Amino acid sequence: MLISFIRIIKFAFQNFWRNIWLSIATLSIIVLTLISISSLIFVTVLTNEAINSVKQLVDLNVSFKPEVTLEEVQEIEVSLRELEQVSTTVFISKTEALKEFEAFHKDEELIQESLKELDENPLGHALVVKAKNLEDYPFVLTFFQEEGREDKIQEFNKNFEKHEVILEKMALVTKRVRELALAISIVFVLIAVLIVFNTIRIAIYTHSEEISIMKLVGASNAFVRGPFIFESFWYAFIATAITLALLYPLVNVVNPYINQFFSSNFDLVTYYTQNIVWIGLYEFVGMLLLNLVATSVALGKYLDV
Amino acid sequence: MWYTKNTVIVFKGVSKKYPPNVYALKDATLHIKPGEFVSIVGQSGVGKTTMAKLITAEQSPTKGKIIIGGWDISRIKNRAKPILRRQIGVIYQDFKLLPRKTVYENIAFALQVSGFPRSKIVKIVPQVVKIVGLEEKEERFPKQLSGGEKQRVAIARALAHRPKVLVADEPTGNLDTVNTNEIVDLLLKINGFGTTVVLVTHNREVVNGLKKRVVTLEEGEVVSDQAHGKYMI
Ligand SMILES: Nc1ncnc2c1ncn2[C@@H]1O[C@H](COP(=O)(O)OP(=O)(O)OP(=O)(O)O)[C@@H](O)[C@H]1O
Ligand SMILES: [Mg+2]
Repeated sequence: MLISFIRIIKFAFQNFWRNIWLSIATLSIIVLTLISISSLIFVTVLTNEAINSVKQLVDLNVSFKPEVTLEEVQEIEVSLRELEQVSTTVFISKTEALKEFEAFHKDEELIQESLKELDENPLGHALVVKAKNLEDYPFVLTFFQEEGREDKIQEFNKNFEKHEVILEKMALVTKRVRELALAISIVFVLIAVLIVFNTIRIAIYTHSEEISIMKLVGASNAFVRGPFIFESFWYAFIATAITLALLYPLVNVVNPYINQFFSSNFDLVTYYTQNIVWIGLYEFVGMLLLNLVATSVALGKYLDV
Repeated sequence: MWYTKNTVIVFKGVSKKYPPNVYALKDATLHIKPGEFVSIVGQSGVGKTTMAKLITAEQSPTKGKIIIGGWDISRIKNRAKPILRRQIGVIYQDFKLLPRKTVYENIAFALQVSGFPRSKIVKIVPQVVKIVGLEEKEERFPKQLSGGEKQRVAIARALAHRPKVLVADEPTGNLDTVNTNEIVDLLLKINGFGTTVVLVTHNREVVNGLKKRVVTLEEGEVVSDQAHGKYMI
């Protein structure tokens, strides 16, 4: 058993080296496929990031009346956080609000003057609420409009409402973009699967004569299959390693352009280095399964001797 | 009847039909005793190769029984075929060597498939290489050999696990006279060791020179079977 196993691995490597050009061709196709799949992953991540960064611009800024106390606001914040539609809340105290206000209007003398004349802070506390989805803002708004809350509120800065039309369009566009990306991905993966499948089939077809000879001198199916199965494993492994190595410089080259495009601090290189293990693992396992299926299917008809 | 229980190959009323409706063998009956040297002759398309393929279970009979060394292989399972083939040596007109393995590896392969340990392989391979006279060429690949040399490698491979039967389907079909005679001499030498040899051939001179048993096929039927036969057609 063990001796067969060792022989199978030896034959697999012999096969690989003695058909080095065919091996390289097969390997290149697999690597190219994996690079394309990886690019698809990156594009998906970037699309999501673009959608998110737009979402980040949208929030609901609730300013409370100056007489509303810190405790009252904090109480509201706590119940607000219990809503599943709410993603984050940020508390802004009176003092902070004033500072921001001053900073924002620092070039406007008139406002600066009038601020100085007031002894007391005219502003109240504020809460900045981000909902999970764009569609959730109206609901969050009704929360503030409930009895006992509405009269504590000075004003809403409903930038989601200002952008309502744009946002509606955005929501639609992002939905379409996602659907399109999914459709493209499916087509793309299908093409990749077909290409790899056929590449493996051709590689095995070139061995069809040998396979029948092996069977005629008394090799069992398992013994003939063994080296090919091991080669599948080896191809998937090497191809994944090469792909990951090639992607690193590629990602570094495109990264500056992506950074320019995203004002947010999304960084593709960071994303890549943080997720390299998962990307590698998924691609390896996916490619291995594909190779194994292709190999078994392709071998099937030649083994029947 | 000359037939005794002591047989190594038995064909009992064997018919072989290829789709759609070609009868390559019709009700063929044949008994071969251990140590015999039998030539199977006949014109092209009479079913000689089919007979050889039935012995190695590359084909299965449509009707009748085939018994090899007491084992009825008429309905042999796919799983058992390797075991049968490890007991029969086969050589072909086109040699059927593994192109990407050296002479040594080609011969060793036949042993590796049946799980022979390395220690035995390194002893057996040089022995059979010596029998066929290829001592200097063990490290060559098939494409670096002449036709005659390739066929000798194939014979060495067939001999490696000491088969009881050697089936040769037109082994000299691709060779010139000198190489043909050398291969036939080798087959005789192997037969001299006690191996049963079944030789399928077209070659009149070879058959007549052998003065051994000749079975003649005609349109799938055994039409003559002579102990010291001649090529008749
Ligand atoms: N796989 C096959 N499928 C269909 N018909 C076949 C097949 N193999 C052989 N035949 C037919 O069976 C008949 C016998 O073929 P076979 O190869 O046994 O002849 P042969 O005596 O070996 O001929 P040759 O001397 O030319 O090698 C022929 O008519 C051939 O066309
Ligand atoms: Mg023939």
